[in-house]
Amino acid sequence: MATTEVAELEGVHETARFIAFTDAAVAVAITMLVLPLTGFEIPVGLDVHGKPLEFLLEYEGQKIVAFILTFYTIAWFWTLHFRIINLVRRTDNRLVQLNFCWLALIVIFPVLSNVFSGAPYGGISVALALFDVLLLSATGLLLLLMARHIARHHEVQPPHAHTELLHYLRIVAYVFGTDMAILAVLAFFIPGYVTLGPLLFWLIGPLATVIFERRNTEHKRRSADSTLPPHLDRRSIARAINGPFPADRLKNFVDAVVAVAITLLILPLSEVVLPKGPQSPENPFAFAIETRPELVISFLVSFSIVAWYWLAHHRLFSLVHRADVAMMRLTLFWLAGIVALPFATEVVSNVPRFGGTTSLALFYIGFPLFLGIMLALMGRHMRHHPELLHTHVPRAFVSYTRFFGYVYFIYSAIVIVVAFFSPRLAQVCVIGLFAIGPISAYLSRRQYRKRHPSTAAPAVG
Amino acid sequence: MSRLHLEGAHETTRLIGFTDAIVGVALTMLVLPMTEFVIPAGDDLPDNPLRFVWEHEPEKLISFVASFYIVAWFWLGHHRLFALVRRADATLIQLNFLWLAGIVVLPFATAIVGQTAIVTMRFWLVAGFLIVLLYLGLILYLMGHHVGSHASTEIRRPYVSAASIRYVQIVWILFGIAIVVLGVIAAFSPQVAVVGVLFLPLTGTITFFYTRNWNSKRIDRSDEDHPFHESAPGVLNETPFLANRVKLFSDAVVAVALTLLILPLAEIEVPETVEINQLEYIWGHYSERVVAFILSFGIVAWFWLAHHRMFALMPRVDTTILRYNFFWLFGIVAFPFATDVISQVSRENATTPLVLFYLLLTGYLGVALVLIADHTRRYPDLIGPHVQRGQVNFLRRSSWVFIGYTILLIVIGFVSPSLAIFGVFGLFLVSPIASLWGRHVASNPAAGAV
Repeated sequence: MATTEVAELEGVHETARFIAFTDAAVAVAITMLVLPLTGFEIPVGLDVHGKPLEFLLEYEGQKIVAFILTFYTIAWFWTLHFRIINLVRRTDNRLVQLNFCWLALIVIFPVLSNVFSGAPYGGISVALALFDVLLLSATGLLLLLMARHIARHHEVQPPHAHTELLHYLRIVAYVFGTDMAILAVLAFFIPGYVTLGPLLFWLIGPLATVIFERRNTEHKRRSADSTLPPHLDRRSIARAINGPFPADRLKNFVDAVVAVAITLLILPLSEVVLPKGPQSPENPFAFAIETRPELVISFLVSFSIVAWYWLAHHRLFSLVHRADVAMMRLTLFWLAGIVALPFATEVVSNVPRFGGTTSLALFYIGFPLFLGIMLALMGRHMRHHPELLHTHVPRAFVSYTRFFGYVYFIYSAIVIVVAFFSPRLAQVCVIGLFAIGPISAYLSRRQYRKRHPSTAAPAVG
Repeated sequence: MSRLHLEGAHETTRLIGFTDAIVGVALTMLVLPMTEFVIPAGDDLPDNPLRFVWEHEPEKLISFVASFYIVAWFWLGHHRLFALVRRADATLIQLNFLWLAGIVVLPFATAIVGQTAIVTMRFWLVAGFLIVLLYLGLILYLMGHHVGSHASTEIRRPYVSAASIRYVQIVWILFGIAIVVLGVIAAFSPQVAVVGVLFLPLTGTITFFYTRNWNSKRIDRSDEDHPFHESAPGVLNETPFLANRVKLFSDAVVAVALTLLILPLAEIEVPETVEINQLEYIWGHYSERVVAFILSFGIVAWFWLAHHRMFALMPRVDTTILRYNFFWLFGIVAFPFATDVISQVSRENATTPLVLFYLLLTGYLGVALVLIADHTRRYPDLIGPHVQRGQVNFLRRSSWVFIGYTILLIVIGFVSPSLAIFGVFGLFLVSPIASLWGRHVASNPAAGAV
């Protein structure tokens, strides 16, 4: 192999490391958003018996909104980063510097989220709202500077540069800039509500697409030849914008987020303070466990749930080698549920104060239900888009995802019905989730055997 | 073929990557109790904040260092075990999760141990910690047994030497015996047992010497033309590993440490009044936290880049590099602590010991990288075949420029501590100066004898 070729291979590899590092830092920032939500205390003397949801909305509502908003913001920027970096063949110094500046801004978002979850909406000053808009604009601007740098430099472009995607990104920049300008003006009049601005981000993509397509139609009308050049074909543009992209980066990002989330579960336990002096306990470990048994239980429960869902996700994604934007969105929703899981467990560990009500049980079941539905939707999406799958995936594996979805839905429906009669029993039923994987594997094996009586069924899962 | 071997290999990579990420996060979270020190302000401000920390809660510092050492060693053990694995089966995945649960519990155990003064440590405290270690060792033993007892290449790699299998089977038995001995010692003197924990990695060394000659007795010749085949202890020592795993692991640690730098900023509380301008309030009360964050973020990012450049030349690493890399990671993990300390002292009150501590930590990171660069010079087989001499020399020159600059800053620190802190921003000039030096050497070969 020629030296330059080897060097290029190395370059590609090292770009992979650079991307993995960025993703790890973003993953830590996005997972740390849950920290303000955990460790809440019900004020002494407040009667919350039978009204857990009312308590959560009144006392934790603003924190929940701040969590969802900031999670969405970081996830949105990450998806954009994903598409832009997907164009890069080799990173150079300038790109790495821009990227570190971008990372420094991303890491500030949890701090801002913390400030917002403490201040009432009426109390957010104009300066703070402007700072928020400035931070959002700077984060977006850095991404677009990266895109411009990629477009201008040959060595960072892939062999077949998606010029159309870069045009598209320019339009995204205009729409994003307009959005930011409107928010900046609004900051002078309604500073509190400007912080909700990122909720408008979901409009930017579709709006940019509409403008982009109109521009292309004009291009078509003006050009003497009535047929579009092949790279302006509607399908190839959609493909450049929405993927499918290689799935490795998405898998790594999921791993990083889940790894941080699963490790953060230990934090409430490590904050147990031992009494000092003569009252210091004989066996500090036993003391910590005896004084806060609910923390130990919620750690064990949350750890097994997160581990189980990671395994389920791992099985599903071992069939996939490419991912499109829809898949990325579903995965990010799923990750939001995983990140918020310690919060749900903590709410439920306050059962003695709340009392075992149906609404509490539904709240708790809601999380695994949501996670499972997201997984089932991912399975459905990959069945409908076989181009995402590895080339030689046996049919039994694919039908496993279908059975998983069905069994999951049926089981959740049963648990919800149970919750109305006996909330306690419904909470215990969450353990039954662990049986869904083996049952689905059994069903898909049986179906395989029925269809191919002569061959041995492949090991599923 | 019902199973795709290539895909299987790929997905084992994902399992290992996930494990590394968790170990990396747990390793970095060991520093959390250390970021909770509150240094008195105003007239009570101690002259040397670091001595204040040491005098008040030395056990936090000690349990942090000891736990870091233990987790690093466990990671190395896990690494050696999984170097033998070709495909993880269901048993191995489940055992691995049980192991991860134990690793995640370690920050908790460290926090508990760190709250008890060393002289008042009692049997159950030490015993509790030992039980966690025993559990981790037991799971590794079970995994090693599972991998070792499967003769088929479905789970195990084909080229694995007999000695490496022997190693992963024996080392955890020896480790268990050592833990039991330490438990007995703890019944008489818990303090001695705590010190004994630091010697647990010796079990690895003993096993290594015991299994070293195993290959000459029985060698697995199933894969004749594999380059690893002739090496005596297989994947154990000195034979280079592929560097991917250590790179990803370091990335996980640095990424978490980089994000934890935000902690002092995240603790800012703004009073809930309508009239206040929150930004002005934050800058007025907490400006040193903002400056400390920017400074530390810059330094950690700079070091990650230097690490990235150095490891880009190395497709393989050996155990020595792994050890030096852990030295380096230790400095990175301690950075949130250093940031927390300096962010509590305003610029006018910055003292020489405080600034020296920060600069020495920065210097320590540089020295660890110099050790790695030096080792690669002595063992050129670690360097990729296409790497040019100039690239290696550039790294050496940057290290020297860096060390010179840090010494200069330390000298300045004795005269004007706050100037020295801001001088850290000058680090970003190190690479340009090193490349200027390189150009000078290239144009004047006589000057190249450095």
